[in-house]
Amino acid sequence: MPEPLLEVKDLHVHFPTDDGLVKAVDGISYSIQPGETLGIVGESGSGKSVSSLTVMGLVTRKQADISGDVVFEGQELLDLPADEMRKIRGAKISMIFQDPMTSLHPYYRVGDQIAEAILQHRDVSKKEAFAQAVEMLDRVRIAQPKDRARQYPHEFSGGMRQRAMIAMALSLNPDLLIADEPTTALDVTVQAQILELIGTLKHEFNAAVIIITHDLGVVAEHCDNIAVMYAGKIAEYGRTDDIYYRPHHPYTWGLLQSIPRLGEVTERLTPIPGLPPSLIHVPSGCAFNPRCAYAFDRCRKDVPELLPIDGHHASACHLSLADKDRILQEEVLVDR
Amino acid sequence: MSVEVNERGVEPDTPRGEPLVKLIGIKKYFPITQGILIQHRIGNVHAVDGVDLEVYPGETVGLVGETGCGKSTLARVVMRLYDATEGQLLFDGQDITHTRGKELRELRRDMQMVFQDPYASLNPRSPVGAIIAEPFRLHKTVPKDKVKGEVQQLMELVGLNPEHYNRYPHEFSGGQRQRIGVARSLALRPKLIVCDEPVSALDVSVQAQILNLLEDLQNEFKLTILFIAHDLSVVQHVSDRVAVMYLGKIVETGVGEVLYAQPRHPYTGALLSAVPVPDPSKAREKRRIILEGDVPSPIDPPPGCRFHPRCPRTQAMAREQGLKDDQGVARRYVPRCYEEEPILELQPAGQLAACHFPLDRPIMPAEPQPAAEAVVEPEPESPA
Repeated sequence: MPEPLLEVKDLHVHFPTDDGLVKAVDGISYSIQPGETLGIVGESGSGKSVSSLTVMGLVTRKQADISGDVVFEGQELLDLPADEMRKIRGAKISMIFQDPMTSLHPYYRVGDQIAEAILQHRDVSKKEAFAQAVEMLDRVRIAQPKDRARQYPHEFSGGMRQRAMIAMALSLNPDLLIADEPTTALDVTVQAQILELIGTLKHEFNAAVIIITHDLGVVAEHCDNIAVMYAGKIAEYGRTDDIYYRPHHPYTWGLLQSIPRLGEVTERLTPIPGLPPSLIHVPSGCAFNPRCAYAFDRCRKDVPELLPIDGHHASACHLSLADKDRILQEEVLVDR
Repeated sequence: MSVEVNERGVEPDTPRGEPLVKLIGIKKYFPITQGILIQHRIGNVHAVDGVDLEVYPGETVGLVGETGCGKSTLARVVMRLYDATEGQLLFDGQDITHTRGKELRELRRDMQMVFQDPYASLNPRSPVGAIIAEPFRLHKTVPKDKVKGEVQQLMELVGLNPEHYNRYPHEFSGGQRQRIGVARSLALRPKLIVCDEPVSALDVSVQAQILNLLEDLQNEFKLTILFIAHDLSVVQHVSDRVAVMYLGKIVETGVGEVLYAQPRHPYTGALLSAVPVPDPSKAREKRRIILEGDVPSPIDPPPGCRFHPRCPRTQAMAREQGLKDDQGVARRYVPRCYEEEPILELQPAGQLAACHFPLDRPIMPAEPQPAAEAVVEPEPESPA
């Protein structure tokens, strides 16, 4: 196995608030290889965004109690001083945010905003940086990039703004691109354009990508590996096909069953009962136990560990493999 | 998947009684004005531009389309929140296009709306009980001393704890708020409910709860639902019939499963192809149609077929046939597509589509016949 590009080990991010300790991320570990696409799926409040913001150094020890390790290219990021981190952020790890409307500055020309990122990290003149920005706009397939670079964000459509964000994120040829809900604010046809673009650029730039999303469709189409998060923990991790065809965690079963599927006549959806828990009062034992139909005594007491099932595939659940097989057979939970 | 065409929703002439809602050539233009003292009308936003649609009692009709296609405007025209610029709107056989005042208010008892954003559509300063009781206060269908009991019954019906009568909206989660919105819309026992993106702000696991709730209520109260969403899989799940809108027009309409299996309009095909499929092997097999560009401005919609500037089919045909204009420059589109506006026509599979050169191949892989369960999956492809 080659050296992983990024390795997150037992990461905890807890925010002290007046109401209590918010355990946004509560012990997650994963690693990502160069060129890999990892999908992190979860509902709102599952900690999927906070974990990546921590990797980016955008949640720091000033705001939260952080423990664990984030090792990027052999270097521990959590202990890095701010100015060192600034050299990595943007240049080696960069991020695309959900809302392209608010993440571009409305007062500055799009080209200048992209050039600014280049100027921060490279020893080039303003003119060269701007030329590079124009070239990047061209690479994200924006027509007439020269004219577009001189326009302001409000003159761009939603999809084009997201393209500009991608141009900015890739302008320094990062090794890792984190896309936090990159298409949630966009129409499906534009979403397809953007995801396709991220896919091709990933190969062009040979970058690893983390896609954070709540959409099980997006990860199915674009990711090699998937981590399913629930209440600050990874409930299940595996190859895309493992997660969809051989899921091992009741939460994953619930998620897969609760979505309507195109072209399939389901008389009735099977929702997961109840609501995602508050991260201040996480249920004892397995956080999913109050919503889980198969919970037994142990689930209410012990926190399950993320244990490997076979090689790559791991799940955090107390149910034995035999029990799961029986459930899957009896209830025909998954359709294939 | 069964492609038993036309069991419920044959187009266009299965006898299903009188439609509850009938739209005839509905147009809604918003004026664009310029000038400070004297306002000149310099153009129109053609939000809805000639829509015919019938909704029959007890059925769910889904409207899908991208942002700016006019689906929400159409819903508001149906609700009489906007006045149609042109066309006729019939409700229960009665022309309500120009109904006003007291009559309109009475009409509203029969049609209610559930909104997209459960955070913005509930008054934050009003307790939930009062929010749900608001229709009773306005329409006085229930005597004052019985309102509380009635409200609590509604809360129970939509799966809320009736004891939370005095709580405020911020004390509820997104899904619960949407239940409050549904309870409010049901208070007057309407015939029609218009749902404008009712689940798009919700988490997936909660989304299914609300979709099931709507289904149960529809069965219990024989509701007719006009369901608007941008998510094709949600729309197809809840709807008996689906209408696909593009730039103010319906381009294809029919039974959801038929549109899925045999889409005829290239736009329907592109939408289908764009929906991410939560099934990796199906996702690998499906045809990918990536549309270029964004939806054109509805201020000055393209001539002929509105979809032609983005249509991959007319572009491919023009290329294959080597079409050239008078100067010998290669044409990008087949001339018929920008010269002649297509009308909705009956297609072999039973849907209506407005296209000169409809699609002849499905987009999604054919559904495997339900075989034995344990299917050995191929090893996942390693990334290139």
